[in-house]
Amino acid sequence: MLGVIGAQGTIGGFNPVFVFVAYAVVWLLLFGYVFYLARRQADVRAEIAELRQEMTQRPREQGPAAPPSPRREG
Amino acid sequence: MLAALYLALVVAPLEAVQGVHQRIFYMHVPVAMMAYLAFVVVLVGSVLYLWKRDSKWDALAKSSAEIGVVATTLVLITGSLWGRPVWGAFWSWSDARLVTTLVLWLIYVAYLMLRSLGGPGPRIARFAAVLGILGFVDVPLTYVSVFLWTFLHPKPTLVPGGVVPGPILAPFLVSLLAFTLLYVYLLTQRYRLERDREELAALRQRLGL
Repeated sequence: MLGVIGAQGTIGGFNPVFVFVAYAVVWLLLFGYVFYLARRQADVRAEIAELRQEMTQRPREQGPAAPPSPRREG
Repeated sequence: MLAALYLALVVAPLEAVQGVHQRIFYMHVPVAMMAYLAFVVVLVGSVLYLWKRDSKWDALAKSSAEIGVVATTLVLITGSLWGRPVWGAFWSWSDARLVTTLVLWLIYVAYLMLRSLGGPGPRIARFAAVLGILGFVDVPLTYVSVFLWTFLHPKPTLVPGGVVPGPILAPFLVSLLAFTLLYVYLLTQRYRLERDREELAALRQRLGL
């Protein structure tokens, strides 16, 4: 177990503030990085979807439509 | 990660000399190993990119370098926070492990700056691959620095024949597994992002944007 918490906020005579800060920094930075990656990924994917839509619209706006591709029946 | 946190903070015994400060070990060492793993992947990706000239290997190296820099930043911060109560100082320029770790961080920050400022293209990717290979020299140097120059850092005890009691070893191994899995997850996400960015750049080029 963690040990006896002393009257002055110490654990077994040691001040745990550095341990708390170290764990907090690791968790915050890693969560921050995961969040940052997820946001960047969402932004890039949204832009890809937008550009793909633009690509499908462009031939219709720019000139005569391309001859229809032969469709296979059945 | 939560199991690792629980084992490190609640189950692991209080160390006799360093007391509660020794608990930083359960984060500091696995994060350091995660950084080493990330730089090994940068090396492998860089070598394979120079050999095969396939952009997927470059994307892998670039993605892993970013995670390695994040992990090395955490190693430097947690190491300083462990050193202050145990050694009486946040930093010592006389300690070879600290200095070589800082140099490692600077090398891969330079790698990321080259990628960021140099822009896309095979020329910058080739330069970065060479830097990724040459920069890796500092990884084994950082590891063996405690054997070559002794100052503050202790020699590793987690080696075959080392003496680490079971109650300390078990939480450490769980933490190491958690951070290794976290690295795999982060690498997967960062690699996907890199491939998506390549696709975006190709689409922009096709549309003349």
